[in-house]
Amino acid sequence: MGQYKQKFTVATPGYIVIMLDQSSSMDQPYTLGYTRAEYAAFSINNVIEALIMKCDSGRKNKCAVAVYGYGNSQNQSVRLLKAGNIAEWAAENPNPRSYRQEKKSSDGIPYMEENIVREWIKPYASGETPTKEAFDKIYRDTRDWIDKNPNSFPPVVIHITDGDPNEYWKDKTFENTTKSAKKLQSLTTQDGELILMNVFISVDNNKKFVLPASDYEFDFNPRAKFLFDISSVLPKPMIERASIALQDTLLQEGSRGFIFNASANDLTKLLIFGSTVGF
Amino acid sequence: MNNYKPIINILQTHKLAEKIENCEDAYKTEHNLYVVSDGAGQGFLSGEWAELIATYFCNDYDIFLNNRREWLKNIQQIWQVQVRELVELNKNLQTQEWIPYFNAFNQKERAAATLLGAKISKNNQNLTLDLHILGDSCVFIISEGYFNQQNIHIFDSYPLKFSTEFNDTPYLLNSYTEANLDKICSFSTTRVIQENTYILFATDALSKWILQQHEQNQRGKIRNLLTQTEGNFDSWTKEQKRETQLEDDDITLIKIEYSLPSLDKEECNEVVDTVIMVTDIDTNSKLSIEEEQVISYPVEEGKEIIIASQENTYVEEKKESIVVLKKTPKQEKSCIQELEKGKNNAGKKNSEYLLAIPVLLVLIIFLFFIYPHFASKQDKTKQIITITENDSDIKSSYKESSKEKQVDTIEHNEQDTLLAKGTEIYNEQNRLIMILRKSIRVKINDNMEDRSGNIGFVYEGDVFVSKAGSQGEHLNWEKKNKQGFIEINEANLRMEKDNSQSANDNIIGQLKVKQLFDCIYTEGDWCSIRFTGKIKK
Repeated sequence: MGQYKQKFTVATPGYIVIMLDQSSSMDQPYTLGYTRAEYAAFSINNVIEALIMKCDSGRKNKCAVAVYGYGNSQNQSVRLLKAGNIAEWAAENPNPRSYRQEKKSSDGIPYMEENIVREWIKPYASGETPTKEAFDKIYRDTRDWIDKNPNSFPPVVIHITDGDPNEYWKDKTFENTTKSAKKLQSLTTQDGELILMNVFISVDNNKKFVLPASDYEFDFNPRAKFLFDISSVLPKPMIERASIALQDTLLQEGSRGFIFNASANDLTKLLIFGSTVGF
Repeated sequence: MNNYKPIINILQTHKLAEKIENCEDAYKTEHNLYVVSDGAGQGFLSGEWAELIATYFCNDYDIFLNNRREWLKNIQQIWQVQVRELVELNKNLQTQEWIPYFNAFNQKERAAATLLGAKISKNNQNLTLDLHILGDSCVFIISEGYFNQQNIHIFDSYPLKFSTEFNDTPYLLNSYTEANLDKICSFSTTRVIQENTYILFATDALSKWILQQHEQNQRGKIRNLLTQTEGNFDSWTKEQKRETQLEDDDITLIKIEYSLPSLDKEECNEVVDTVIMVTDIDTNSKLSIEEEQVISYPVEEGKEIIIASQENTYVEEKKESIVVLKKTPKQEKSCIQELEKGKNNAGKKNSEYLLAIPVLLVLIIFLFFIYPHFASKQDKTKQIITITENDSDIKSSYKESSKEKQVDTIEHNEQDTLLAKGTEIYNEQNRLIMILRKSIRVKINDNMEDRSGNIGFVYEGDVFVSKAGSQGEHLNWEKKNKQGFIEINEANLRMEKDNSQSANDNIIGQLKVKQLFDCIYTEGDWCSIRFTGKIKK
């Protein structure tokens, strides 16, 4: 395991890749009247706003972000929805929308917090689940990015899904998809290996697993086993960030970047701590 | 007053691939106040917050001293007003930043920064730093002797002592809460100014680098840092980032150098105090005499000593190995004369300032004190005197001098006349500072009053203390975790090299005493320090 010490700086920017399942099942209800696709898009837009804030309101290109969607849209199974350094994201103002949420101050007094989130990523849900193809495309693009940024903190790839890859539907196996994911994980900067995190979103919170260190509890579930296998063991800085974000979760060495049956809240937290680890 | 003048240089640079306007460090110097504040990269507008901390540390120093809560609350209110205005302005102009500003302000995103502030006061030869530190920006006190690998030198750093102590989560002051306010560490430290004493205030990356070089005994690299100017600091940091361990970060350095002013005619028109300087070339240490004072300066074989003076300073009395000097009132158009080894024309160049008295002084010392003991190597033009007498001669002269000294000093016996070689002992107000090159054993003489007092020294942040044994010896050093000074009352100390102790080199000793010392003799492996205070027998 690498050092994972390099901070996101202008000279050594970070690279956050979000791989979003846009198959038809993402059209299912998820939380607060949102479908999975809608909430996932909102969460991604929200985390990009947070990244812009972390990069001096977009004035410093401390990181780049790429969002890929995979499903079936206009005959393209895997699409690069948007990519660029953070200033390029910040320079656009697509459909800014204000939303309010109740917060509590440090002394417990509730108040309404207003935020504005732009809509760089629009919700979409259609077609199948070409997970392997998505891993392959991201591998090629990320390898190119590493060639240009060999000293940076390694790329962090966050995969959001709600279903099984096409390969499993057809052949009842995850073998080739696993190979593609492992190949992606093998990409390395001088600071460490690429970190691949997987979030399986679901309304079934009874069988939720958050950053598990072993798979013995869900060995019976091939889908969970597959996602656990392709999730990176989290480096120490990520464990520290996750421990702060997930205060009610006991994390240990060897925890993997994987949440199974993640709630909307889990998804939001993972996106935040996963993408801001280098700050 | 002394004539050491602070020369202040401020150097600042930014992270690689960034611009100086995005540097999140702030600094301010005002009168005798100095402050550096390092804005945290992950905070919201932390650079602006650091600016406020630096500005109001100087502007409201009294409030900071008396009521830190009020001080912090005040700047937090100012920060919030400024940020609100900034958000409104950007929103109205629909700038690229308006949405992140708006969100960050509404989410009460915090700005955060370190604090390293100091008030520096000079009192005669003493330099007192009142330090206020939160976080990992460090202050360094370094004397010139450190770079020349001399035994006599200073290298101190606060609050961190080792490069391994730096981490990603230093204590910070933030723009919304009182968190860490109670963790600001405030204390004072006093040093005797030596020629070319440097006080450095540095943000974390450079502080860590300095300590790394110190730990690797790369003193030349630290020396090289001190020669950097505003014009080349940027390229120097880039080189260090590439070739050494300097981390990529914004960097700020306030460098204060205390040295004698240069000798130009304009300065000669200033009203200055008279002073006489005795310079030991080997160690570059200097004695600056400001009051009527008895000097007994130790000499060793092969050692060169420069004695320089200025007009109207005269020798009142001279006895063997003792020179009694008396300064005159302030004079106009008087100059300090410092002669440097190797400047063949120095005497000629500055001859207009070297009037009869200093020459007379040198001659008297030469004829009565030094001449009988050394060969004819001296170069009067350079005013350099080379001592070549043997150790035994020196030893005897010390003994004689102590007997003849007419101050209310306790008489010490023959046993306590020598000091461990390479040991620096000097008086710093009420604190005796020792810099020892070897592990030590300390004995308390029979004629001391307080035989039970603890004594100790500090080594690499740990305090070693010992109580006097039945024979007045301090043999059983006990390691304490807390750094501090240990007081002893009127005492006459003897220190000797003790190979039975863990042989640690570079022991930095700090021993606090209640009485002032005036005479220090060094030679061999022993030392003696005499009190000027009376001792009860």
